Formats: sequence, C-alpha cells, structure tokens
Amino acid sequence: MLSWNEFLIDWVFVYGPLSIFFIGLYGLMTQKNLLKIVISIDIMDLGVNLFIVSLGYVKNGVAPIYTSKNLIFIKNFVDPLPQALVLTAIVISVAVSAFVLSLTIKIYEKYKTVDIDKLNTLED
Amino acid sequence: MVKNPVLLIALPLIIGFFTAFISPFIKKGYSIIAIFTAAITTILSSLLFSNSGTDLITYPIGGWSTKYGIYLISNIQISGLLVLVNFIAFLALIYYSIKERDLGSELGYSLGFILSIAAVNGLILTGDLFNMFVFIELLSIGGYILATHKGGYYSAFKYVVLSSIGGLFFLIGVISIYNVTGLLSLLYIPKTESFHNLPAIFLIVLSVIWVIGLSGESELFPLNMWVGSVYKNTSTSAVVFFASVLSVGGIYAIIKLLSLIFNNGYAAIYRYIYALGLITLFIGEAVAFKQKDAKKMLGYSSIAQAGLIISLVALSIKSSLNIDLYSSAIFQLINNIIAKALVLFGLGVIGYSGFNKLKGVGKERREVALLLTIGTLSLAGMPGFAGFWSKFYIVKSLVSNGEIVFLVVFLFSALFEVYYLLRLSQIILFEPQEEEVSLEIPSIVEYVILTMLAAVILYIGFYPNVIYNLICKVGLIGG
Amino acid sequence: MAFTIGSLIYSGSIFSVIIYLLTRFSVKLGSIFTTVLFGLYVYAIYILKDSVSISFIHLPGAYNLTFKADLFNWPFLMIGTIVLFVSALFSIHGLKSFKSAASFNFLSVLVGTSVLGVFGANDLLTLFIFWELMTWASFFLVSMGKKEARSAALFFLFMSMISAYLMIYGMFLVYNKVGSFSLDVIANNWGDLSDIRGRLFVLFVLAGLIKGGVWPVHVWLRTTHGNAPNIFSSVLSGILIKFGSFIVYLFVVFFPAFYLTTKGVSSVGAEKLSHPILAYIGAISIMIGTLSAIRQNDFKKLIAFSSVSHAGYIVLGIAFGTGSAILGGLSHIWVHALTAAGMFLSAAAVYYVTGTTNMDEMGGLVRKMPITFTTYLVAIISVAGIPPLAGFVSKWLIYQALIAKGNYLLTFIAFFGSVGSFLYVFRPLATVFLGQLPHKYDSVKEVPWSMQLSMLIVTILTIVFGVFPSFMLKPIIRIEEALSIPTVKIEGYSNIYTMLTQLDMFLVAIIFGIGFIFVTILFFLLAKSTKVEQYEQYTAGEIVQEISTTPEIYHYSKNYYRSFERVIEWAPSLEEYYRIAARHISRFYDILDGIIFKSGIPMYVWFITITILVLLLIRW
Repeated sequence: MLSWNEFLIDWVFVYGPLSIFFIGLYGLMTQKNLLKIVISIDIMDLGVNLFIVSLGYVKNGVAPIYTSKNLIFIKNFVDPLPQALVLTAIVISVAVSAFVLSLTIKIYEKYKTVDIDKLNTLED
Repeated sequence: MVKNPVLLIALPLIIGFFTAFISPFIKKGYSIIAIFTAAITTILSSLLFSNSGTDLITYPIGGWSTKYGIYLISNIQISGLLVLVNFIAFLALIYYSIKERDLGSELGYSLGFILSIAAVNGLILTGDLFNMFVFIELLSIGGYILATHKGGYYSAFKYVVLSSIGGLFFLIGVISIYNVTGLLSLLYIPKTESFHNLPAIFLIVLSVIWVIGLSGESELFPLNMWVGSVYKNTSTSAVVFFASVLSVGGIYAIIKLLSLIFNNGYAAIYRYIYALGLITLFIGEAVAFKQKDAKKMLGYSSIAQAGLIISLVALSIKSSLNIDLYSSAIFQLINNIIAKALVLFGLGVIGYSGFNKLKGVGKERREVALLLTIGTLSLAGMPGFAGFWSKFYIVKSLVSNGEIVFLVVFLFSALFEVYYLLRLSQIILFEPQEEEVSLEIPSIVEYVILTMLAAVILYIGFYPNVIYNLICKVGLIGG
Repeated sequence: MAFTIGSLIYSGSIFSVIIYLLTRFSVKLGSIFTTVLFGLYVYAIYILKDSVSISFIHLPGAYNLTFKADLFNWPFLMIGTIVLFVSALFSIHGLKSFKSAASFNFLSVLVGTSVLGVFGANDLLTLFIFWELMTWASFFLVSMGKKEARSAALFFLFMSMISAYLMIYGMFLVYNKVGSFSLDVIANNWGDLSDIRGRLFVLFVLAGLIKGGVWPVHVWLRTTHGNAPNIFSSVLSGILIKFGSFIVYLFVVFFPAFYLTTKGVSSVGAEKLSHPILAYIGAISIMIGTLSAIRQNDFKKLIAFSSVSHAGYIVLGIAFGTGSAILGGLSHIWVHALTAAGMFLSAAAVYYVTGTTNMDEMGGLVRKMPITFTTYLVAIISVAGIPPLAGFVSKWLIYQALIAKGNYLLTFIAFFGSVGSFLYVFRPLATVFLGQLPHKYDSVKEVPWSMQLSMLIVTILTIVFGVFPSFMLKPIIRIEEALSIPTVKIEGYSNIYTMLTQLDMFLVAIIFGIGFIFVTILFFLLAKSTKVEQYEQYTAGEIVQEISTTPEIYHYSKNYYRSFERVIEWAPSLEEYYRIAARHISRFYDILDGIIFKSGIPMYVWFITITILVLLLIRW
C-alpha cells in the first residue's frame, strides 16, 4: 500500500520533474523548428528546477525564517539552500532564453527560415 | 589585498557593469576598456603567481568557513594557468581592437569579452560547486555572444542549445551531491562520511553526468558538435578566445572535479571518463583530417586535445594521483593553447581560412607564414618546439604506466594530426596560388603578437623544464 | 683544433640562420657558405677518425643531448658528411633557378646537423630528436619540388611519423627498464632486457625498415624521390634512408655483439647475430626493387626503386650475421650512398640543362655533357656490382658470405638483383646519354664547374674505393674486431682474404683497365657508325602527322623493356593496396564527420542520449 508520503516523494518530487525533463528531451530529439527547440529547452529547465526545489522538502517542515527579531529555534524547517540555488538557475535560464530567442530572430532575418534542415544546408 | 584572487573575477564584472551604464554618454573606445581589463587581470594574476607555492591555498569570500561558504582556491599551477589565459585574452583583445572592432557592436562584444574573462577566471579559481555552475553558465553566455561575432547565428544557436543541455546535466549532478552530503565545497565533500558510503554506481553516474555537463565548454564529446561551425563562422579574436581561453576554463573545471572529488582511488570511475576522452581524441583527429577550412580544422584539433587531456587526467586518478600522467596533461594543455593561439592569430592576419584561398599566400606574407609554421610544428610535436616535450612526457608517462591501448590510440591519432597540421603549412608555403586573394598589410602590432607567442613556444621548446617543473609537477591535493 | 659532434651541431644551428639570410641576399654566396660548413664537417669527422669524442648540448632540466664519435659510428658519420658536402657543392650553381633557395639552404643545414645528430647520438633521445628534426626539415624540402611533390611529401611525412612513433615507444620501453636512454647503458644491459627485447627489436627494426625503404614499407620512396628537388634527392637517397640502416645495424649487430663482447665472449658468431626473416625481407626487397625499377619511365623514380633494391642488400648483409656479410652490408651503405649521390646528381645535372627527367624526351647527351655521362656510367657500373668499382667489393663480400653458408636461394636473389640492376640502370644510360640528340638540345652545354666538381668527387671516390677497398673496409673491419665478430682479413690497400678465397682489387682493376684500353682501341679502329636523325624512322608509308601521334613515340626508349614488362605486369603493386587502405580510412572519417558533426540539433541530442546510456549501461 503506497502511503501518501511515499507517493509524494517518489512520484511527485522525483519522477514528475524527471518526466518533464524527458518531455523536453523528446522535444529536442524530434522537433525541427528553432522556436520549438527553444521551448523544449525551457521545459527541460523547468523539470530540473522543480527537481531541485523538491529536494529541499522535509516532511511537515516549516518555512526557514530565522531573523534577529524572530529567534524561534525551529527543528523542522525545509532546506532553504535549494530554493536559493533554484532562483539563480531560473535567472540564468531566463537570460539564456532571451538570448536564444533573439538569436532566432536574427537567424530568421538572415535566412528567412527557422527550419533546421534548411539551415543546415545554408550555414555550414 | 592584491593577494586575494577575488579581484580577478570581481574587477571584470564591475568594469563590465559600469561600461554598460556609461554607454549612453560614450560612443566609442569600449575595446580600450576591454584591453585595460585584460591587462589588469594579467597583472593581478602575475602577482598571484609570484606569491603562490605548491600548496593549495583557500581564499574564503565574506569570511564564511570554507566548509559552508563560497571560497576560491589557488596554487602555483592555477595561478600560472591564469597568467597564461589572461595574457592570451589580452593579446586577443588587442587584436580585436585594431582589426575587428567594427565587425559588430563594439559595446556588445567588448562586454562579451570582459564577461568571458571574469567567467574563466572564476571557473579556474572557484572551490564551490554551485559557484562553478554559475561560472559555467556565465562562460557559456560570454561564448554565445562571441560566437555571433561574424554573423554565424545558426552556429551560435547550436552552441546555445548544446551548452544549455550541458548546464542542466551539471546542475542535476550538483544538486544530487548536495542532497547526499549536504555540502557544496569541493574540498570537503570527499571528506564526509556520507560521501564514502555512497554506492559506486552513484559515483559513476555523478562523474559521467558532470563530465558530460561540462563537455560543451571543454569541447569534449558528446556536446562538442558546435565547435567546427562556430570556429569557422566567427572572428579571429573570438576563435582565439574559444580555443585558448574558454576551453581552458571548461577543461580545468573537469580536472578540478576529477582530482579534488574523485582523487582517492575510485577505480570504478576513471574508465568511463577515460573512454569518453579517447573517443573524443580519435573522432576529433579523424574529423579534423577531413576539413577543408583551416579554422574548422583547428577547432576539431582542439576537440581532440581536450579529449587527450581529460583521458590523461582520468587515468592519473586511477589509483591515488599519478603525478606524471597528471602533469603531462597540464603541460599539453599549456603548449596546446599557446600554439593554437599563434596559428589562429596567423590565420587572422592572413585573413582567410579556406584551403583554396590560403594556397600560396606564404609567398606574399612570408614572415606571417613562417611564424604560423612555428605554431603548426609545435602542435604537431616536432622537436625544437614546445609541443615536442608535451608529446615526450605523455608517451613517457603512458609507457611507464603500461597504458598500451591509450598509447596506440594516441599515436595513431597523432599521425593524422601531424599530417593535417603540416599540410596546412605546406598549403600556405608551397602550393601555387589558385585564386586571386587580396591581403591586407599587417600592422606592426600584429607582428609583435605573433612574434611573442612564437618566442614563448621556442623558449619552452629549448627550456621545457622551466615550465614543467614549476607548474606541471604540482597536483591538486585537497587541503 | 678539437671538434666534437656537439660543437659541430651548435655551429650548424647558428649558421643555418646566417646562411638563410645570406641566401636571401645572394643565392651563390649562401650556397658557398653551406659548402664551406659541410666541408668543415667532413674535415672534422675525418680528424676524429682514431679518437673517441664525447660531447653534449645542455638542455636545462633532466635531459642533455649527448653525442659520441667513436669507431662504431665513424663510418656512418664520414659517408654522411661526404654526401652532404658533395650535394652542397653541387647546389652552388644548381640552385640558380630555384624559387625558395633561402629556405632550401636553411633546411639543408638543418638536415646536415640532423645527420650528425642521428649518427653521432650517444643516447636514444638525441637520436629521436634529430630523427624528427630531419623529418620535418625534409618534409618541407620535398614540398619544394615538382607539382606532385606536395602529396608525395605528405606521404613521406606519414610514413616517417609511423617510424618515429614506433621508435618513441621503443625508446621509453628501454628507458623504463634500464632508466637511461644512453646507448652504452643499453648495450651493457642488452642481455637483461630479455622480456622486452622481442618488442624492442620489432619496433626499432620496423622503424628502420620504413625509413630505409625496404619492402614492404618502401612505398613512399618512388613518389618522394621522384618529386623531391633534384639536389635534395641525392641527400635523401644517399644519407637519409641510411638512417634506417643505421637503426637496423644498432639493434641487429651492435647491441647484441657489444653485450657479448663485454661479457667476455671471444668470438661472436653468426648464430648469435643472424636473423633469417630479416634477411629474407631484404632479399624480397632486392627482387621487388629491381623488378619495379625496370618498369619506370622516369629517371628519378627508376633510381628510387634501385634504392629499394640496394636497401635490401644492406639489410640482407647485416641480418645474415656472418662477419663477411655484415662487412658487405655496412660497406654497401658507403657504396650506395656514393652511387645514389652520383646517379641523382647526374639526373639533377641533366634536369638542369634539359628541364625534364622523362627519358623519352632525351638522348645523345654524351657529346654535350661528358662529365655527367662519366659520373653516371661509373655510378651504374658500381650499382651493378661490376669490377673494379666499389659496388663490386661490397656485393662480392655478401656473395661470399651467402655461398659460404650454402644459402643458394639468397645467393640467386642477390645475383639476380645485380643483373637486374644492370638492366634498369642501362636504360637511362642508353636513352639519356647515348643515341641521337633531339634538336631542342642542340645548344645545351655541360653544367657549371661546381656541379662538375661535385660529380667528379663522387666518381673518383667510387673508383678509389673499388680499386683500393681498404679505405672503405678498414673502418668497418675495425668495428667488427671491436665487437669480436670473426671477419675477413685485408692486406695492403687492396688484398681481401675471406674464408673462401682471396681477391686483389688492384689486380682486377689493372686487368679491367687493360681490357678497357684494348676495346677502346678496337672501337676507334674498327667501328663504323652512321649518324641518323632521331625521328628518321620507318613509318610503313604513314606520315607522322597523319596518324596524329607525337614524334616522341618514335623515340627508341619508348617501351624499352616492353618484353620484360610483359612478363611481370600481372604483378599487383603494393602501392595500390596502400592507396586502397588510405581511401577506406578517409571514407570512414568522412562518414564520422557526416554523422556526428554535419547533422542537425535533433541528431546531436540523440547522440548525447545514446552516449550517456552506453557509458552507463555497459559495465566495463
């Protein structure tokens, strides 16, 4: 009998993000349109970011807020570091997305196509 | 204050940041700012180098303990590499400023160069895993910018896609090791109890994921498919950055991961990385052999060298650190980036890279062609030049460790390497001209750049042990 | 003045730059300087004859380049510097119309120092360094040649690098075992290397065979020698392929015999030194070289194949193992160095005046170029092993050894090679120098004095070594005595005593001289010859223009040995197999490039995924 907690940890926190990741990977493997490739990468990003956040999960944990005014010693808070890390990762992926979208525009301006097969013959 | 290497990272970032802000007021001269930045980082790294010893020194940032906080690590090898990389970046920026400034937006590309310098320095210096991830991404963003310098947008796109995939893999690896050890510090992770209790399969997956994640920047197989087209479709200064600056960051990051985290004889791991490196070596040389464009050819040659270096390092951590194998890898890295920079600069000065255009240009640009030939001879490992000694030390360490399979693959690929490199020189020097080419008259500064690099190659060629004993015979031993 | 190999190499490397600059200023001056430098080399090596000279060049760090000139390598050094000198002398006028003369002289001096470095090395590292120096210097020199020279140079480079990489592996195998590269240390420990000796032997001897142009790794010789600049061909064939023979000598004769001698063995017999497989490889090389040379239509390619056949003699002699065979093999190095230089220099002289090496287009040059003709004549008589010239002496010694051991198959092959030699070297003689002179060469003159002088030196040396063989044999007999190999005795200047018989070359020469004079008198008294125009041929009623052919097909050298060729033309060419292999490798690399790098992003991602899966799923 699968308990709720096991279900949460295994299926939502691990396989869920991983399946999102693999959806992105599938997109990269099959799509020929530059924009769809960009979106696939973003989907992969999403999967990894969800995975990171879920790793900080502690059962029945509370928010790790711990200031000089609020000196309550909590034993059971969730790990704040992955959340901090994921913020950085999100910022980076946004920057990369912006860049790669502008590249796509440039490519379209230059070659009038966003199809990979055509681009392969145009730019060696 | 000068002794703290954090300035090597912070200064370019600060300068880049403010340059972006003053851009509404100043319209020109950003390349001068970039040169200035590279000059300062070169000087700072030389100061660091002169103060370094063989011990690994940690520089905590913000007073945090090195176990939990961010910190930098340095020893004479790291600082020596920094000097070299920053110096080549400096030369590339001078070249950029006098020849390629008007190729694209001066502000944008100057910022790209500055960003790349900060990222490479950070990647070589950092001792923290997540920090490493940030610098990898920063390095890639710098690289993305440089890849578009001559309008090669689609090749840049390939680079972005492959590199982002790599970044994700690396991030997964980082977060997994954090999940099991609770640490991100390169020096402390291998000391924790939980790390020792990890199953071998976890470590194998981890190391493979990390190396594949970094394979985009370090030009290893399988994420290196962008290399050829990016090298071909971007400017000379950017190619020099890719070949001799950015790839060093990627390769050294792998070296750090392997030798700091997996240095205690995780024999199960080395085979995977080693196989990956050898595959890269073979494919790189084989494909470079078939190219008809000199820059593309050198790109694939860089791939092959990265493979060689990584498999040597992987082999060196097979049991406890084997300093001979390790230092021959570092020596090869150093010689390769100097010589490759020379050849790429030489091609830039000539102004063409397709073989049909290069035919016979040596008759009109004799000095450039001869200096370029010094570079190709060094890359080919001919005696009298620096490359001979790295080949010498590699074969020496391989034979003394009985690694015959590696030796055979290495020498077999080296055969083709010598062939295509000297064919390049032959085409430039001896082929009769086929197409009408218009050559610009090189300026004195370009000659100075080429002569300096050639002089370094000849110096190492005759005094190899100066560099070898100083920088290479130093392993990265966890403090 | 005390010269050492080290100081000579130092001066060579400094002078190379000076000579480069001088040649850019004036070609003649630069070449004269090169000649003087190589003349100094000859002199310096000559006065080192009876001494042991050890020297080194200091490289900071663990390794010094160490050199030694003693009786064991003196013969190699001597003949090497002589050939260098002769070809440099030739180049004083020979470089006149050469485009990159400055680089040519610069690289020639580098090759010259590498000759000293390889033959004079006292450790394997030094040997290897100069071996590689020679490789890249001669790669560029060959590239300067004719149109096909570029691809020929690349092929040469590829083969040379294979031999270099075999050597570097062998070198470190030894180093691991004995902790030193020094030849002395290796020779002293030769007996203790039993576990790696087989590998070492294969590695180094194979490297030597590749460089020496011995079947089945001789394929680079034809294109390289055929297309290299004419002057450099003589050095390439005269000396550089002898590097290979030198390595074979070191590993087949020197190390084992030296070790046994130091262990107190008083007589090192053939049973310790003979390598039958190697000897048979040499024999096959003689056959293949001879048969292939007969088929060539290019003067220089023909000589290239003669080099294959003569490299075969050298290997056969050295590997057969008896004192007389080794003496024959080593002295054949001298003989072939001189005759190859003679043949290639006369080819270069002919090219200098006619601008071609294609034999169909020449003829009758004997009247215009008597010195060149004489050089060539003497060289080919020596090559064919006809008394009284040097070639006879070395081949005679090899025959003696083969017959004494009763190996009649090898004896037959050796004789066959000799007879065949005469067949193919006679063809250029007949077609280039004899016959009718085409009208386009009516105004040609004999080559300038420096070229004549250098050819005369070669000719005189070939005659002297033939008539007074002790000059050539004594230094080699000295080696054999020092290695306690029972050898032939030599008395006076010309008396050779072997196990079977005795030969006085001076007497032979006198008899031949008398015969020669007699025949010459007969020739002038009795010969009645008619001069005909070259193209005055019977065409069976057809007019040449009407059957739309060129007059060259009426040249009597066209299909000169057609009848022989018909016998052997079914034979497959080894070169063809090499070419097929190269094509397959190249196609495979193309496929790699196409699959991995030229496909688009989706394919890349497939590759990444597959790589990760393969890496993780295969349990190593």
